[in-house]
Amino acid sequence: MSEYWVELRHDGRRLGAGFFLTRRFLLTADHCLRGVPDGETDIEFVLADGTTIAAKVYERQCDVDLALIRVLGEVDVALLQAERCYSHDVWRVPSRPEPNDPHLEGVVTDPKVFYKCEGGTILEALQLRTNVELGDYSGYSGGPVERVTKERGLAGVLLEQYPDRQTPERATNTLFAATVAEVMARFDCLDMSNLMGVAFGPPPTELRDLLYNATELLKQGAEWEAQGLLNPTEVTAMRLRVARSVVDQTFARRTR
Amino acid sequence: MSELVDAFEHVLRRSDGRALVADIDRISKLALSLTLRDATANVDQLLRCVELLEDLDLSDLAARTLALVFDATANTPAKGVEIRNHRALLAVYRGDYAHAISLLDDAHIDAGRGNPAMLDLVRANLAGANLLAGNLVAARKWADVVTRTADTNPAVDSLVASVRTSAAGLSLDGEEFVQAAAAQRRALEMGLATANQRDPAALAAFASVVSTQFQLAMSEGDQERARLALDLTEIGLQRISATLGRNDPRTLLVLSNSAAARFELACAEGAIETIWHTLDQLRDAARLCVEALGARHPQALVAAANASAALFEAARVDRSPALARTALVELRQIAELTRSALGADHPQSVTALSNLASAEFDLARVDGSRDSAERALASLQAATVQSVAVLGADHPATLVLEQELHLCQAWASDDEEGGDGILLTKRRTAVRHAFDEDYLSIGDAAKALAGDEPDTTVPDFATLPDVAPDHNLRVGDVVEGRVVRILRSGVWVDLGSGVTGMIPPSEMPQEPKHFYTGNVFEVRVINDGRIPLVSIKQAQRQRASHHEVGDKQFWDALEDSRAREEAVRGMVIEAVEDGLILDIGVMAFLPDSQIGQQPVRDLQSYVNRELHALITEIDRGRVVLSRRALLEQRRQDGLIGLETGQVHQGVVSSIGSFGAVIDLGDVDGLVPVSELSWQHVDRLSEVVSVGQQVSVKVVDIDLLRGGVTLSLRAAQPDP
Repeated sequence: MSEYWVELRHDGRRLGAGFFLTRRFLLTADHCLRGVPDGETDIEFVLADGTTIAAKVYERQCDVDLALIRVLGEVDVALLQAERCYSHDVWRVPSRPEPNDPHLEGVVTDPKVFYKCEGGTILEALQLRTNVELGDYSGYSGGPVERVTKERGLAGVLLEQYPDRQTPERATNTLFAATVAEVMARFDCLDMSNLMGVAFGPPPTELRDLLYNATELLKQGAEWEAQGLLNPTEVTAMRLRVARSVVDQTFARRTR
Repeated sequence: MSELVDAFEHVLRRSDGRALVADIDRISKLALSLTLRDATANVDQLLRCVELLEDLDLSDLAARTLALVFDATANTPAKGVEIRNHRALLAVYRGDYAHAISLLDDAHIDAGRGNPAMLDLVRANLAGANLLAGNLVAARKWADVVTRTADTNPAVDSLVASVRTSAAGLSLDGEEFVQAAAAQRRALEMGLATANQRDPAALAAFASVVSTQFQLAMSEGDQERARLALDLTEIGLQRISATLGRNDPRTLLVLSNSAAARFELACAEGAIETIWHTLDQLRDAARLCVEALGARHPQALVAAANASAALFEAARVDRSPALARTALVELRQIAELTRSALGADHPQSVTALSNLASAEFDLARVDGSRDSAERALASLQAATVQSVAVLGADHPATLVLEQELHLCQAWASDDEEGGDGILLTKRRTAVRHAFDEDYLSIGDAAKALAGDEPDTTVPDFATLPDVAPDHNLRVGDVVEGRVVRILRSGVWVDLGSGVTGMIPPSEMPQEPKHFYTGNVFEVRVINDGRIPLVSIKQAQRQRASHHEVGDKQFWDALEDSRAREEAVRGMVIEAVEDGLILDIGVMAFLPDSQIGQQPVRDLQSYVNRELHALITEIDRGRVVLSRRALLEQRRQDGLIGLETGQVHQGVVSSIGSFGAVIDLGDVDGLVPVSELSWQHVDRLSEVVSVGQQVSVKVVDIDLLRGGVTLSLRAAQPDP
């Protein structure tokens, strides 16, 4: 069984690091995929034991510098279960750019900060202090951050380095990692409703639910009318459409 | 107030979750300083504090704090309902279902008087709490009340639908299960339309629906869809674990359900290695549940029961009676613990007892002994009576047990020859004899069996004979153990006389993946319970520590070796974080930087190898070695003893971009990339791996520089 972090490759070139979020999906920093030509999704990754496996770029969230890779085929990997972090927890990044680079480690200084990404998007993140002062942490971003306790836990994904205010060409020893909960809520393909639909098809409907949805829509229309967002004519038209939809669907159910 | 919450968080953050005296002092002071004003402003936080104070056994403080809460909410009965409902949920997480039901009963009365908006939610929670407490009748009654009276509310609908699917699953009612699954799916979709994707209730509902879909897929024999459901379960597990933490009971429930589902699918696919692999995950999940919730928590009991039943099933498929017997011991322990924790009339107690009885019957057929048959018969009789009393005479599980009982009675009285050499599951035994078919659903089997009269003449469960194999092992005994099965969670070893013991990972010198079936080790018994726990490390230490610090002659000899820079020889018995432990008559430490001339990456590959090294330090019983210094010394003395053209055996000790370093015993040599293979090499790992035994040819010896160049390809024929 292989470790859960991997090296991503395209056409034999190393793109960067990534790690298994589940047996089916890998996570990496989006900037690691800059070497992949637009429109191309086929890449491969190398496990710690040297095995090469095919994968596809599945969903990219450029604004938060995260990308999801789908594994093609079965992989025997020792997944790490996600975990919450608290202040003063010890953390560690188990992967490193090269074998002679040090492992990053330190303590969590704030378990919940709102981090503004380069594109302006706000992410819930862990604020980390590292005692491995390199001044340049390039190559580490996209790597997994582990909470170090008796049972290791996957706490987050390391974000791009944070520049030193005094000397911007250096990074401070403060790093940020997006939490796993935040990461998983960011990707459309991991949306729970979407997953259910893809895996098991649309849910069976019942008249009771149909009426509930219709009532909610009518309530919403009335609210918007009261707030002046819709004029009465538009609201009347909307009500008619809702009523017609209920009748159509009810009739369709009876004749099915 | 926030200081008090911080103080609790500080305790919870600690990996063992235990409060120290200083923490308790601080918490007590802070709790005593709480005022009514604090309470009014922070009711929810204060309720959480009450639960934590109870957990820390500070009952007086908990009662005082709770009184503050009641004072603070005296004029707001609506809030009182919310508080009771909230406390009931916390009691459910603690596994105290009776307390939860009592709180919800009160909340139900109050909600009827002053908070009708909470009525449906409280009733749905009553359905859930009763289901967990094993009262299916009450659970169904409350679910019916909600369905009849409630307006559409996704949270309530989702809860009720989950109760219905679980109840249908327990009753083995296929039609009800399919209908409930559809309702559960609809409720989830409606809930997700409005809920935040990180809402714990939505995450738990998602996990529950996916689990139901897995069961549906398996019951329809659709393994592809079941595998898809497992992928979703994994996503659900990561999401809920990241949101609530891995020790939250809701996360642990998803974890153990996911592991059980993975094992079930592996069994259906029949790949033996996958079965053992998924069993490992299932046992890991059970261990985490026990560690986080306590062994007597209902959820931990279910997880442990699943893990032991799965061990029996894996042993059955692998045709390993030794491990099946071990599983039987576990099943017995769990049946006893479940009964003492939940009571004999809880459905989980009946399930645990049925698992035990069926396993005993299966194993008795393999043993073929009169004793085993009688023991199996007694267990089956006890299980059948309990099942009739708790689940009812018409319940499919009862009917199958009755059928097994009849088979066992017939088999025991027939004086039939010993078993047919294979272990049979409960279902197969019943079905094969009753219908002459291998695969028939338990529900169908039960329908066909309906009408048989149960035998009610049974002995009490507590008087059943012990199933543990007799053994005379005592703590401290050193015996030989032969490896019979390797799991990540431990290695099972045959200790002779039919006794199987386990080596926990912490007691092995290497990770389990370095073991092979059939390996024989000296092990020391560290726990002489019914399943003995044994240790290789302790056996090795016991052997290595035969020279006490007071053995002056031995220590003088060591000191002499150090002074004269003479090599000592020892077996590597363990790889630790920063080096190796060698047995040189005492335990000696060889730091990783001193193992070879190049940095060593895989310490594990040195375990069980004999090494020579120089002693660099002796200090009050602590001995430090350096093999690197010895290699340098030999090189300087020109004692390499190598000649160009010789072929030697060696072990790959590290791989770098330049080539592979080969350990030839007395000296390290380098195989450059160009000398690795006759073919072009892209990745070194495609040709060699650390720890691999290789034949190499000496191509150059540079005595001045002290370097030896080797060739792997020259030791192989030119293609």
